[in-house]
Amino acid sequence: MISVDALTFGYGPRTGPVLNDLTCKFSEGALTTITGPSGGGKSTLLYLLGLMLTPTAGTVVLDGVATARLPDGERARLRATQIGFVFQDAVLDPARTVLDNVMEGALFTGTSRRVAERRARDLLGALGVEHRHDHRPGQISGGQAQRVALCRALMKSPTIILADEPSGNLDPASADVVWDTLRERAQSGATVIVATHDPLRAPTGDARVQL
Amino acid sequence: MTSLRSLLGESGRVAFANRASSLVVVAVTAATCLLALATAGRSAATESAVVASIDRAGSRLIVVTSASPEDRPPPDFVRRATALADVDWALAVGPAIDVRNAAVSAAAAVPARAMYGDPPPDLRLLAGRWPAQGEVIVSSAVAPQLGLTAAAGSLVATDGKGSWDVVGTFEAEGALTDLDRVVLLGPDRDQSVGVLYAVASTPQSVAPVSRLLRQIADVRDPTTLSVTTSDELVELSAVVTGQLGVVARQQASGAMAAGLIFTAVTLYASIGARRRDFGRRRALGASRSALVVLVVGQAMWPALVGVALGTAGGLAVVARITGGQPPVPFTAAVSVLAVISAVVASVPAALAAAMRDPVQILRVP
Repeated sequence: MISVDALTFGYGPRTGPVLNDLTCKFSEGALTTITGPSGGGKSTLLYLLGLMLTPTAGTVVLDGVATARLPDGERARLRATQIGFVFQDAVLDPARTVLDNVMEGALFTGTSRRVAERRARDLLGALGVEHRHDHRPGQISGGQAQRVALCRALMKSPTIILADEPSGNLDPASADVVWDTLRERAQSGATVIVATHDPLRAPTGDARVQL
Repeated sequence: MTSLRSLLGESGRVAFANRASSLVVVAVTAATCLLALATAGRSAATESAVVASIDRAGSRLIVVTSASPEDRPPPDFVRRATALADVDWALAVGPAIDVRNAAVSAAAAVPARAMYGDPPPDLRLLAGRWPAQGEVIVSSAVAPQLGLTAAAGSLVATDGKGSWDVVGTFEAEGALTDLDRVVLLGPDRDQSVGVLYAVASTPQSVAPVSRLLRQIADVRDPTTLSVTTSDELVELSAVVTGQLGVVARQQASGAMAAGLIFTAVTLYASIGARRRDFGRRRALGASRSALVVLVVGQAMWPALVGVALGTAGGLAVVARITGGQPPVPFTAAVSVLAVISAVVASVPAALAAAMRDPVQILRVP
């Protein structure tokens, strides 16, 4: 279970708060969409939930633990073991193969390389990109790159998946694969939170947070 | 959670994948090593050769001579001298007597001395064996004067008080060149030591060993002993070591500093170009310390390759210029320092990568 309590965040004193006194809960086993206008704080909320940002006020509560004052090492450990990120553009390492990029998802979990490689190949196969495992990101399509990024996020079997416009740059078929995979994870018990401004897909979640 | 080993392994894979920046680190580290060895290493090799040359000339030789025929050290003086910690070897000879070939009455007389102690490296056996009591070994230089053409025959004292069988020939060199003009008799327990030759292990230990030898000579009046050392050569050796050592250190420091700066700039630029990699890794669960290890490792692996190449190249250059090699400890120190320099140079870049705000890097405008 992850929730935010009286969450306020601003990027600096000159700009006003992006999020102001937000309180909400995100259920396990559900896909929650976050919607709102551009600049409304959707991505910022995801980064706060992913412990990449520290709130100006309020806190993010993860499994009953207020995370605002946790040291960097502990926040990193929670990201490494429980939280999977999917970014709008896949953010793959262009110098390394698809397989290496997926395996990077388990690098900070303590998983052995042998186990990580087996799991990475399974995930690539499940999302239909196993045949591209030895390609560089520059040699695959945008839809394939996003599926690779999704595999990387799933490497650690996260209990929380945070996706920021995961289908924003994709064709409808690739977008369907990504959303279907996220729904399957939610049905498997994960807390899936997706920031989107896609008017067709936003209502398809189990719950919705409007910013 | 993530072991240091897996982080260093990952950094090696990243370094291999990012060949362009890794090759720059390899090249800079190799150049640093090569430069350090070709300049400082050359000085060190020269220093080593000069000091070795001075040492060969006998800077560490101590000669103890007894001036009083009635108060000479006993033969076991050489055993006590050899047992001293700072003595490489010692050899004693008795007072000189004249001998001639027993078979050729017209042959010239040559000086003979009884020999005590194991033959040192500066005495080289040419034929036969070293003499026991009642035997003699002849230097190749005086054999013709004695009318000897082979290591055979016998010698007699010109005063008729002894005879010795010839059992071999020898050659004296280095510190014992003086013995090339004598024949050496087997040890005689009834005799005493006329001259003791001892070689100290270092030029710095010559003075203390000289004092000790006077104390352990076992004579009634130690002031009758004359102790001769090559003080000027000892001082020259120290000066050469000091001055060339300073030059070598300055040159090595300069090369290392230049390498450190180049590596730091290269890595900083490389990190700047790969900011998203570090933002992504933070999102994947890397702590700041893990990022520092990853970046330092990315410098360390290519630096090791560069050091191997630079050391091999530097040694080849020094060999070509001087015909010798810098001392092994110096070469090892340069190699280790080059790797440490590369690692230290990567720290600012590593800290910069670890401290950057990952969200600022990852956000799509």
